[in-house]
Amino acid sequence: MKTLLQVDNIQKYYGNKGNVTKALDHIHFNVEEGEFVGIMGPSGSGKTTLLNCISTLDSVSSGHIYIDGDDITALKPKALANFRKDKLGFIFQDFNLLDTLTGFENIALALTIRKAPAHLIEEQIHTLAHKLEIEDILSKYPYELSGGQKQRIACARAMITNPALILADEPTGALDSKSARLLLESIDYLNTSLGATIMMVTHDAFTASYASRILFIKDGRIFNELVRGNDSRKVFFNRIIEVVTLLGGDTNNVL
Amino acid sequence: MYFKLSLRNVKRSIKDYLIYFLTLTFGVCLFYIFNALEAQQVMLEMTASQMEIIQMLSDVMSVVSVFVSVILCFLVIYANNFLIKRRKKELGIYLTLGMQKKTVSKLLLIEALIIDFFALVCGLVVGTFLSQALSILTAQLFEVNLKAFTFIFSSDAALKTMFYFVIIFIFVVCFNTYTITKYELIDLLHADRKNETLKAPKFAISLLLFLLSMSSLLVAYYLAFKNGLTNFNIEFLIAIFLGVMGTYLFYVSISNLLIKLIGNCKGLYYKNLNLFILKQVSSKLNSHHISMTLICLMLFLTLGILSTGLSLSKSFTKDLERLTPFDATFSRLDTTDAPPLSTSLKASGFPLDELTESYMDFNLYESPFHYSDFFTEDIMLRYGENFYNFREDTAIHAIKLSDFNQLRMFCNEVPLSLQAHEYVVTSSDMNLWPSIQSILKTQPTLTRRTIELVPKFDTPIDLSYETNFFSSNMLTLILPDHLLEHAPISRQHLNLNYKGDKTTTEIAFKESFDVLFKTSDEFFIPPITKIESYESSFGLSTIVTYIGIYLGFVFLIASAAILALQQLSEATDHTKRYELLRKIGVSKSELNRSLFTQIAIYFFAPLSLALIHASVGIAIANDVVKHFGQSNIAVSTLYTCLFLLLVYGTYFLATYFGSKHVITQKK
Repeated sequence: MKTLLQVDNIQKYYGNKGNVTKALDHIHFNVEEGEFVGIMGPSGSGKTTLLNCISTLDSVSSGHIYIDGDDITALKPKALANFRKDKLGFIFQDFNLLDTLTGFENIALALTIRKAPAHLIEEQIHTLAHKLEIEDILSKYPYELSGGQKQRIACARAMITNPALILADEPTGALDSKSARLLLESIDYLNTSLGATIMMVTHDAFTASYASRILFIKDGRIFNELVRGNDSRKVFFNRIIEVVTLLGGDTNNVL
Repeated sequence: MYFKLSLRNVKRSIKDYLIYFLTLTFGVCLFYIFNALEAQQVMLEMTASQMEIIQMLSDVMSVVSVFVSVILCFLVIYANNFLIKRRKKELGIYLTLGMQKKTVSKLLLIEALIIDFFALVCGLVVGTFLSQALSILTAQLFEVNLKAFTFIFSSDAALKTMFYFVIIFIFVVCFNTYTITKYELIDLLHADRKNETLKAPKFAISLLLFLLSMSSLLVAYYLAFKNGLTNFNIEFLIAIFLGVMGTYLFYVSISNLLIKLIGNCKGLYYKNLNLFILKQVSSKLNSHHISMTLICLMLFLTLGILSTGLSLSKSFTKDLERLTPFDATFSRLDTTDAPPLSTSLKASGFPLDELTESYMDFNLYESPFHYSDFFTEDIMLRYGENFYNFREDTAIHAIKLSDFNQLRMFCNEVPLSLQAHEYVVTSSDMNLWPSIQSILKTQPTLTRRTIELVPKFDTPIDLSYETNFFSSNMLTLILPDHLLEHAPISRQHLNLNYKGDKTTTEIAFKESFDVLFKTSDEFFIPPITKIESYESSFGLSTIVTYIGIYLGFVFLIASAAILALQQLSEATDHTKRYELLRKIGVSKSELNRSLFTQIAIYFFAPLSLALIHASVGIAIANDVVKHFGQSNIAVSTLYTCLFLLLVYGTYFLATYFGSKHVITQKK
C-alpha cells in the first residue's frame, strides 16, 4: 500500500521569546491510502493544531508534511489554496454549511470552485447523494435540516471532489447519539466502499471506535497508538476506553 | 467607572464607529455650512436687494434644515442600530455578568455621547472652513466682490446645529434603550450563531409581483409625462404613488427572478463562486427590500434635484439680456378708457421726466382672433391646459403696427411695413417657436368671420415688449392698425430708460414709486426694472442651487451611508462563510473578487432603477426648465453624475476595503 500522508517530525510553537508554548512536539507518523485514522487526546493536547497543520490552514515551525508526495510546508499561499481545493476534503464540528445555499448548492460549490464542467455537476451530485441516502434533503436550506442531516451534507461536500484525504474535526461533536451513529455509518461507507482516506479528530471513544487505527496525543506528543486489526468494534471500543482512562487518569498528578 | 468602560469600548471599536462617525460629521458640517450663510455675507459687497435675497435664502435654508435634520435623525438611528447589532454578544456578556439593562443603556449612552461630541466638534471645525469656501461661491453666483477676506465663525449657526443634534441625540438614546429592553439575553449571546431563515417566495408570485411592478412603473411614467411638473393634481399624486409602489415591488421580486433566470443558465450558475455570490446578493436584497426602495428613491431625488436645480439656475440668468430690453416697465391691466400710463403717472406726481432719458407708452390689444384660430387642435391640447393657458375662447394679444414701429425706433431698429392683409407673429418663448413655425409653414391663413390674413414671414419675430424676468411674450400678433382701431386694450405698458447713472437712478426711481404707491391706489402693480430682474433672477437661481446642493448632498450621503453600513455589518456577520470558503480552497484573490462583485451589485441595485427614474424625471423637468429659458440640462446632468460618482464611489471603495479588512482579519 502507498503512503498517502507522511508527517515528518513536525513541531509547532506559539508565543514569543521567553514564553513559548509547544503545541506539537516532534510528531511523526504515516497514513496509508484507504486508512481511517482517528486522533484522540484531551483538550489542549494539540490535536486540532495537528489537523490545522495538515490541512495547510496553519504552518509548522519545523519539520515536513508530505501529502501524495508533495511537501505542503514548502508551498506558497496561492498554491496552498489550490492544494486544499484539489486534494483535501473537510468535515467540521459545526457543519459550516453556507446558510444561503441549499444542500445541493453547498455540495455543488465544492465542484464549481474547481472549475468542474457545469453539465457534470448535477449528475455527480445525484450519484453521490443516492449512495449517501441524502437525496430527499438536497433541496433544503440548512435551517430546515437537523444537525445530523447537515453533517451528512457536509460529508457529501467533502467527498464530491474525490479528495486524496478527508479531514474531519470532531464531526459528531454537535450531534445527538442517534445522529452521530448515522453519520459515522456514512463516514465508514466513504472509507470502506468509496475508498476514501480519512483522518478524524475526536475525543469521543465511541466515535473513535469506527477508525481502523488511533493515535493518542498528549501535550503535543504521540502518547500511544492502537490498531484495530481484526477486533470487533466492541472489543476495539473497550481497548480505547482503557487508553483513555490511562490518558486522563495519570496517577502522577493525583495526590 | 462606566465612563471608563465606555471610553475603552469606543477606542476598541473605533473602526466600527468610523462610518457612523463620518456620517454624523458630514451631517453636522452640512448643517452648519448652510445655516451660516447669513453670517458669511459680511465679507461680501452687496446691494440692499442682494442682502434681502441672502436673508430670504437663509430663511429658506432654516426651513429645509428641519427637513434635513429629520433625515439625519433617521440615518443616525439606523447607523446606531447596526452598531448595537454588531455588539450583541458583548452586551449579552454584560447582562450575564449581572449588569442591568438600564446600566447597559447608560453605557451605550455614554459611548454615543463621546462619539457624538467628537463628531460635533469635527463637523463644526470642518464646516467652519468649508463655509468660507461657500462664501466665495456665493460671491461668484452674485457676481459681487469680496470686501476683504475675514474668517467668520457663526455662533448662531453653531448653536442651532448643536440644538438640532441634541434633539437627534435624544431620539437615538430613546431608541437605544428601547432596543436593549426588547432583546432577550439568549438571543444576544447567540447572536453570531443564528442561522438565517430564508423564505424565498414562490416563483410564480415573484413573477406576478415583477409584472405588477413593471406595469405600475410604466403607468407612473406615463402619467408623469402627461402631466408634467406644473399641475399637482390627483393624477400626479397617483403617479408618485405608483412609482413608489412599483419600485418597492421591483425590489421584492427581482432577486427571486434573477435566481431563476441565472439558475437556468447552468454554465454561468456553476462557474466559480457565482452560485455563492448570487445567493448572497439575493438573500440581502430579499431581507433589505425596504431600505433598497428607500435608497433608490433617495438617489432618484438626488439626481433629479441636482441636475434640474443646477440647470434651472443657469436658465434663469441666461435669457435675461433678451428679456429686459428697457431699464424699467410699468404695467396696468384692464384699462380700456384710461389715459396713457405716462400721463396718469405724471398726473399723480411721479417725476417721470426727471428720472428718465426716454419713455414710451405702449398698448396690448385683444385681437379679433382666438388661440384656436391660429393653433391646430393637437397643439391646443398639448399646451392648452398646462403652462400656457391657451384657451379656445381667449383672444390672442396683438400690437398695432404703428406701436410696434415706435418700439423699434425706441430701440434704434428699422421699422417694419405691413400690407392690409398681412400679419406677423412674435414670441419670446423659444419653446413655442417650433410649433409656431410649423403652423406658419403649413396652414398660415388666419381667418375669423370676414377677416382673412396671411403671414408676412414664415417664422416668428423674437420680441420682448416689456422688461420682465421670464419670457412673458408667449404669442403676440402684429396687425395693421385698422384691425385694432376699436379693439379693447388688454394691457398698458410704459417702457423707460433711466437718466444718468443707472444704479443711483434706480434707487431714486424706487423711492419715487414707493411714495406713489402709498399715496395712490391706481398703480398697484410695481414696475419691473432691469436691475431688479437680474437680482431676483440671481436670487432665485441661488436659492434653487443651494437647496439643490444641500438636499442632494444629504440624500446622497444618506443612501451611500446606509449601503455601506449594511455591507460592513454583513461582512462581519458572514466572516464565517468566507473562512469556510478559504478552508475548502478558494484563493484570497478569488474571495476578494467575489466580495467586490457582491458589493458592486449591491451598490448598483438601487442606483440602476434610480437612474431610470431620474432620466424620466429629468426629461419631464426639462420641459419646465425650458419654459423659464433656454438651457442645456445635459451639462448639469453630467456634473451631477460626476458628483454622484465621487461620493458614491468613495463610499463604495470604503465599504469594499472595510469589508475586505473584516473578512481577512480573523485567521
